Amino acid sequence: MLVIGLGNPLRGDDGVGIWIAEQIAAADWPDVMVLAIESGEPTQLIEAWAGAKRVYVVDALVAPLPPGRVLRFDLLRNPVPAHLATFSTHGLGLSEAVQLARILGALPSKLTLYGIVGQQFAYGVSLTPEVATAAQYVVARLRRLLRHAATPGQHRSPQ
Amino acid sequence: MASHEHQRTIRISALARVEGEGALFIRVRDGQPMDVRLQIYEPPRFFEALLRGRPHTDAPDITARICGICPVAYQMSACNALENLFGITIPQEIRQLRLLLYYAEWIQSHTLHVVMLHAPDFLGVDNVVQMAQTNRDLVQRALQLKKAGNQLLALIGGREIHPVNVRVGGFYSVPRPAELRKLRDPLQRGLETALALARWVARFPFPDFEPKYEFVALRHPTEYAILDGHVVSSYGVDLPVSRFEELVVEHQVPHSTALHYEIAGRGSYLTGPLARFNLNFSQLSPLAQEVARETGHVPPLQNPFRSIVVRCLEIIHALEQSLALIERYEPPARPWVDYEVRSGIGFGASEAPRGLLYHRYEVGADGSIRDARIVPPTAQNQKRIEDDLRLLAPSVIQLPKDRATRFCEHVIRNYDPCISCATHFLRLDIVDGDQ
Repeated sequence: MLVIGLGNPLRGDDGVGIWIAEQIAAADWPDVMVLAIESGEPTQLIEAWAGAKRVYVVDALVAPLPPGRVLRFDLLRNPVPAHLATFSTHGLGLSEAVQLARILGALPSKLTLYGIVGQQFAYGVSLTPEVATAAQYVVARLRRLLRHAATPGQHRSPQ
Repeated sequence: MASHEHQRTIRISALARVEGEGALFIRVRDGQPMDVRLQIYEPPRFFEALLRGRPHTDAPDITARICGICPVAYQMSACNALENLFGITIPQEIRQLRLLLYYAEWIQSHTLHVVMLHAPDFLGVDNVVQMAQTNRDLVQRALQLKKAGNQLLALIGGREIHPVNVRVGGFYSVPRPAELRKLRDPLQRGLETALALARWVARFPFPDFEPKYEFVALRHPTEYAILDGHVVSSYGVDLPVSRFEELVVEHQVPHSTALHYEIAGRGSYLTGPLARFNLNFSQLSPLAQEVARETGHVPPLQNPFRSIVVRCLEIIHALEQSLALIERYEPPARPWVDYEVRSGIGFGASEAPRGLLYHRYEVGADGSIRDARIVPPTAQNQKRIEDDLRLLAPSVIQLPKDRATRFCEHVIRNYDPCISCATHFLRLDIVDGDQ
């Protein structure tokens, strides 16, 4: 199992993916690789999940929904709806990485996004309380998924 | 785009496919460009102030954080400046390892820009995803090429992004020859890809546009300058790096958080691949020169749209040089050289993928930084980008909005601008009279 946290920890709720990745990496779960990626540059994502079977991506979402709402997407079946754009400070992002990987035949066999609706994306602010609570829920959820999983792998520290 | 009797305005509120955050504003009246503003609204990051009071040994690692695409450039310019101040002579083996690290950065940065960001402009598609539908094999191979660059960077630098292994005086540790030689195969395959890329992009349709540029780059006596050199320009300038600040004048503009640079008394200038190519062509690797001639790209090359070809030629050069360096690599006896701290001012520059990157540090007797000055390439090119857009504005303004937007973005991407690196000052609250 590979968990990829996306986002920019200097921009408030955009850092929620990184926060989750760091929690999981610190807990040192067996058979889980964790990567924290601050740029959403698609080639980096495609390289990151190359060869992985089950991949969970955690990222902040900008959406007209209450902050802290967690949305789950099976990225192999459904693209992220355009009105729920993942927040990226760069022009390219997760959605493009999935599309490109599909064309190149470089998708993992399972690719799930946990998107957490954020509220504040300003520089230097911390996670809003609702988002922090949601982040803990996502960590617990991934922990449960791991207990059911039997896929071997190796542990890698976040970058 | 609002249309009035004789006046049209183009506003691109968020530039796609450039690193960082910027916007563009153009106003034309009676066919004449009245106002062209490349707006950089990425917040300033105060790196120079952050360095003040910190130990000089922090400079390579702190400034590496300025950019996730070209951190090695920042590390090298910082080391050059401090080593210049302390009178450190870097042994040849360490210097060659630094070259190798820097080539790795050129390979990954240029490949990213050529294939993922710039090529789609020429093919009239929205992005690399659309491009991959008809060029699957080439995109696949380009990703492998970029990965080879990343692997080399990770091996020497300690990790791919924001490497941690560079220090004043050398490296913290050096790779074993066997580790480096493992990368020969991917780099050799990468060279085949780079050749294919160069021949592919050389056939793109290039707009007819050849402004008279003043090119500025470093020049080295024996190599295509990347790690160090002296400052030269196509107008005959030839200065040591310590006099760079006499050559250029900086000024702040209200519409951008990045400073603007000009050559004193002459105006905007261009730094980056096209400048290096025109000023130092004869020092490119044999294969890079051969492909340049084969595809009809030889100096003087004034068309900025053709910078995509030059980037490919520089990838070929970097790969050819890297393979040669790996072949004869012997680890240095010690990863770094010891030195005595002395107070004073040190100057350093190197050729980042996007152009000349200048650093100056004033260091106190205790080794702490008193003052720092960083001049990144995108800030230097910013006025030149606006001048290109000003020259093109009369024809751009005739296009329908979507095509005009796309074309302006294409012009900006010729420079591979790294806007987050160029961000500098707070945007002042000054009202522009014509706004």
